[in-house]
Amino acid sequence: MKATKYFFMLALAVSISFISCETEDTESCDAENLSDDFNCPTSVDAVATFCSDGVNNSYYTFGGTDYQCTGVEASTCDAAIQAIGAKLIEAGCSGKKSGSIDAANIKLTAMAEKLLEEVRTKSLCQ
Amino acid sequence: MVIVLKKKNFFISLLIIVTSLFFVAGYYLYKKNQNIQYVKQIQPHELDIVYGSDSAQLTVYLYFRYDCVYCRKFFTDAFPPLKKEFIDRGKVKLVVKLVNLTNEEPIQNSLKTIVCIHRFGNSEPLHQLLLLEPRVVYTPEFENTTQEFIEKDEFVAECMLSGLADNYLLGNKLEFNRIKLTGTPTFVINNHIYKGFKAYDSFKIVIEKELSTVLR
Repeated sequence: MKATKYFFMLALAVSISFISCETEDTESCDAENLSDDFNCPTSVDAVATFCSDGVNNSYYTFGGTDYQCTGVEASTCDAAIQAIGAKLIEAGCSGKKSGSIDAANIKLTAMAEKLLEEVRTKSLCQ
Repeated sequence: MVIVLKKKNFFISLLIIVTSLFFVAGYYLYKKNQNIQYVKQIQPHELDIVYGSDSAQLTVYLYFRYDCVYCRKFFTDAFPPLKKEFIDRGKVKLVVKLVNLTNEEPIQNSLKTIVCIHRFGNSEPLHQLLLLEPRVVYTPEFENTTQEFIEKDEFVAECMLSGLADNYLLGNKLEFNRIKLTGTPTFVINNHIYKGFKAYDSFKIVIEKELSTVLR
């Protein structure tokens, strides 16, 4: 009798776990810290949330405002990121990054010099 | 009485363990499915550097950095035979998605320059230069060259200064993080992720396998 009771409890647990797998939200969101990208001081909260339904809609949420993207992937969120970037710069982020290699230590080879000249002369349409 | 209690404890413990395992398995499957959904969302962008025809049977996405030795090795060692055997024959299209995993402005500027030049001019000389000497981006000569492009071509200038290229690169980086990639080069083919450099012979096996899936 007890074995039957435990069997039913086990079956219930299995059912619950399957239901928990099946009923996932159609929309999923991830927090993204834009602090490094806009060079923000630690005092500025640069965490935005990217949400996508994986079908036809995605958006960023930042500071309580939704910024709509044009597709489902992050690369369709140019305008949204630009708008959030403007808010971050207003809040104190510089939006600039600094270099770390000293140009004086770089000696270009003859081949690299030649390619750089080609870059200068052959990159743009005439 | 003691035996009954022990039996009861055993069943309760078993129940807790089994239930926990199901929840863990459910969570794992959910996260895996979520990652696959993100991989499926990868699409070409107008600023991607593309080799091959739009009508190619197979699209290979490559997350790439010039400041990564094995990324450059892919282009110097594996890319020439890949181009000859698969890309030029219309079988494969290679979509290069540049990512900047640093906070360095010279690197960001070089990537903005190459995606905008690729979009509105000829990026091959710059591509070859960055493969040969990626540190060139720190030199004043390189900075002057990018400045010349901005002054000479209004489309390149708009691409580089309006935020279009910056946002594209940021989008690539966010996509890179979202699909839980940790390094470059990484290839995404038919929603399958292949991490790291592969010699051409190994890469060819992957391409042929994925092509056979597409053609099936």
